[in-house]
Amino acid sequence: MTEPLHTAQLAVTMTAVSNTRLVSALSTLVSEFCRGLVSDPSVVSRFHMAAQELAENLVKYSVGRDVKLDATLTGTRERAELRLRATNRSTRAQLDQVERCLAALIKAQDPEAHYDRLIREAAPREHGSGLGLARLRAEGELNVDYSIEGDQLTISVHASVEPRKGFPHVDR
Amino acid sequence: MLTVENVTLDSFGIEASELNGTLCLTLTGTADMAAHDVLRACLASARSDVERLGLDKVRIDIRALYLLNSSCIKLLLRLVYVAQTEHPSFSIEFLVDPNLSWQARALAPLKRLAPELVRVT
Repeated sequence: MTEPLHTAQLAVTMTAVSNTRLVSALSTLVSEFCRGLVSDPSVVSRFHMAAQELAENLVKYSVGRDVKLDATLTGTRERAELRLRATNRSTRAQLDQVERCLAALIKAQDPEAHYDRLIREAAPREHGSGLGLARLRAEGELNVDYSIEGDQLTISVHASVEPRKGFPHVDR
Repeated sequence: MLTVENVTLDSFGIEASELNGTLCLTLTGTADMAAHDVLRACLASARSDVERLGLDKVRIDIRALYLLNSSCIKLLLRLVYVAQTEHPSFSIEFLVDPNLSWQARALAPLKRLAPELVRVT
């Protein structure tokens, strides 16, 4: 028998933010939100890593003023899903570049092999990483989706999770 | 004498020392965008010290690290690449907290890249 979950959501919109302190504060906030919903520390750390990478991308690559990051838990107790979603506006050149990265990432049948290939390619380079998105899938073991509408990019990562016992009374 | 300098930021720190032919770097706090430039400078100095002092190992202790972003992973990757391709070579040992599973997970690709030079313990 499936027990429907109360949907839990944290949504943050920031305007004209390019402050590294706020990026860390945002990823920590998302991480603590996840910790309130999921007791497995490994799952929480995977989503913390994802929140950090997504929040940094929001700051690095946004051209618009508003950026959004939200975390949502949905589903039933037996089939719950935790999802992070980052939304920003970007230039056509940046959108084309990130779309190529994301399409290759999603198409890769072996995320770890894909990440290892990017690692080998990045190693000789003095600057730039290009590892953040691939890391979400390989290291974070998260599913990755994206959409582009006009100049707006949304990147989602999600995974099945086991909600904390007592949820939604997470303060127990 | 080491040229690597200790670093103390609000959210990130590095302590450097040398012990029995090993250059030891202890990272603490959050290795994120704010830490990137100082970590890059630290690792560049570490590379110079290894060569100048004839050290054969760099030990990087991340047990007290709360987060490691992809840009900082790239800096560690660059150090592994230097150890692989330049002479004299040196080995790199990462110390991780077994209770923080993300630490070993984050460094696993570096070990896969250079299993003969990189240890994660």
